[in-house]
Amino acid sequence: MIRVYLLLSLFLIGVKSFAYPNYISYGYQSCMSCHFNPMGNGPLTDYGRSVAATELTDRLLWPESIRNDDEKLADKSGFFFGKSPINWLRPSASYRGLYYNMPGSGQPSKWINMDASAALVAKFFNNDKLIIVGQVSYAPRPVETQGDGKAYSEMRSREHYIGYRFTKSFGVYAGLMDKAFGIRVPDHITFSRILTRNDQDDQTHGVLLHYLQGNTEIALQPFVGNLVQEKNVRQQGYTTQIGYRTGETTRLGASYSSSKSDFATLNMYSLDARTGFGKGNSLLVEVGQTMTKPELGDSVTNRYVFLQNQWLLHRGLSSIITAEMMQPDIHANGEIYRFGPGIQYFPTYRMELRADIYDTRTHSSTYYTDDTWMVTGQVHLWF
Amino acid sequence: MVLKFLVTVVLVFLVTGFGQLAWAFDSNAYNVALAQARKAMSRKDWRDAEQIADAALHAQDHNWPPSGTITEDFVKKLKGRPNSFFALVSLSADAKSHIFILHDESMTDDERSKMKAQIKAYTDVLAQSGVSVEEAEKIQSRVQDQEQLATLEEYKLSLGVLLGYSTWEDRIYFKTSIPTHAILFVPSIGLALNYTNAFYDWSGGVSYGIGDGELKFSDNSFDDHPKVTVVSGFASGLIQIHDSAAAFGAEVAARSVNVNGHNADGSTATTSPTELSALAVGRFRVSKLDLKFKGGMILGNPSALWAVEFGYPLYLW
Repeated sequence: MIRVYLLLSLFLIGVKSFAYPNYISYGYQSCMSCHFNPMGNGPLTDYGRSVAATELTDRLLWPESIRNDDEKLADKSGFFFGKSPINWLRPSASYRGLYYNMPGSGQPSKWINMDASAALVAKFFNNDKLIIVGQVSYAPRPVETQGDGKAYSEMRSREHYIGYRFTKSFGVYAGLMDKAFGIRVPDHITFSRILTRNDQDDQTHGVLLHYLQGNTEIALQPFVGNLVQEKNVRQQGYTTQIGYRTGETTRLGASYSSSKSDFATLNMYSLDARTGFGKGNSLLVEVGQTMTKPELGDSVTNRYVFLQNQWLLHRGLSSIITAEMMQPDIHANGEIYRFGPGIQYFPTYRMELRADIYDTRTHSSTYYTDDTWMVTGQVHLWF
Repeated sequence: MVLKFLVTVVLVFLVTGFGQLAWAFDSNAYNVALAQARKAMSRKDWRDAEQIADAALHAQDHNWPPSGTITEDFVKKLKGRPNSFFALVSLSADAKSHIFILHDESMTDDERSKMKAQIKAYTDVLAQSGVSVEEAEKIQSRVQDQEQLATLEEYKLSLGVLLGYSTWEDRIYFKTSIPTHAILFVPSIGLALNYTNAFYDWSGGVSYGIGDGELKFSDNSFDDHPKVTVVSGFASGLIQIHDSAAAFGAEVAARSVNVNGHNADGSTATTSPTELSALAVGRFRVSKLDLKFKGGMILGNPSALWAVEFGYPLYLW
């Protein structure tokens, strides 16, 4: 069992960095401050773009004349490097390329065009009460399914939904979205995202009810699975998440999800905490468990612990240490650990560079295996 | 009548005129001193500037420099003094503030408090007389900044307790030239001396741990319960990133590792290698509790060591 997970986790490489929960250290307790999707990910709001341009990224490539002018930088953060010619439309695009190498594996290094997306947001009424969001993405065929002879479309939509905020604190969103569960870290290969079926292509059609008032954020999301998938494999059920801000830069959360397809029933829960230590320094922790009950066969319960720390070394430049543990079966002996030190740098707005090393280690009473290593480098551009 | 008026005018002229001349004479002395003091200031010769200014002020007014709190009465008495007088007061206070910054560390407590009192008296004169409020505030805030900086730079020594958990992959030699592959997990307890200020955090200490792991011997036999003990000495240096709440740096450690495993035939295999490691360290601080994350290499080994560690101060000097 451990070996299967180990192999899977090594193949599911790639880091998708749209949402950054570590911005709790800047006092942002909800993703809604910067994203149209209140649970994070997807296109940025005008405010989110200007915060990224002025606060979170270095200013290397800006001309001298505007480098130290926050107002001008914010003005230039839009898709058109200025105001949108159509006030109610917000186009955006992004590209992400990944280099990876697995030392000692004998496999050659690879460059993958991991993601290329174009999105369009139409927003109406005061405070963007009504939004219509659509995103089309190029996503390469996963390494583990290459050569299996099955048809695979490399173009897909990861988001299309309509959202309406009835009040400032309550909104309803319907369509294809990510599931509201746990800390939505950009690193989609983490155990916390793989085991909870919250990977980069695990979006589902459903309705998201979102409430944010004072220190409390609640999301309830009944879903019917991704309608592009065959009906019998679609997981249908609901997920819910509660977050409570306990301090200026600290938030505690809990998630629960229950769903069923013709083949399996999934139940999962998690507890999480995110806290900031001055601007740019943060600690994220998530502990969770998922139970999978196949229609045929015994149920299996996995457990995971996710921990990610970030230290801001210079404007736009951070050091990251990720430490994870998972038990593929809580009733069996054996764990997998993964340690991932990395460097993330935003030399300028619209550009992210990231380098990571992943050391995966197993602890088993039945066999021994040496650590496996992976080195990745990532370029992310967005417009 | 006309004569009386003319005599009065002449008398008034003579009195005020001589008065003006008398002040002009004093002002001239101030002006000469001011010019010299300014030259010294431009050379950044703060001591010289201070002495020239204070000597000129004292020569004209033997009660100068004022002692104690500057009162309204005192300020009233200064009314009518020429601008050059206040310029000298300002220049002297400015020079004193630079001397305070430059020699803060070498001053005795007594010298420091005397200097601070003088700067305060001079700037109070400037502020309360309304002549140069902004300049007075600037000089005072410079002194306050220096005091704050001195507080931040002040190192404190503390002794703390450590609780850690580390894991590493190793190559161990049990009386053979073929290494035994090992993955080890060791919880530990220790003590650390911390020497810290607001900018740097220097630590050194020792820790002891007992743990287990897995061994794969050269004959491919497997032991899933070796006994591992580690005695470790370390030294680290961190740069404080934000108000001491976060820090990042490096650590070197020397570790004496003892591994007791069992071969396939049940016999015991023991070895005690000494290892050196170099680690990157990130630290967060919640109140007094330190939370450290460490990762890096063990010299001569193919893999890495990872550790999490809690620290809590027991004694502060």
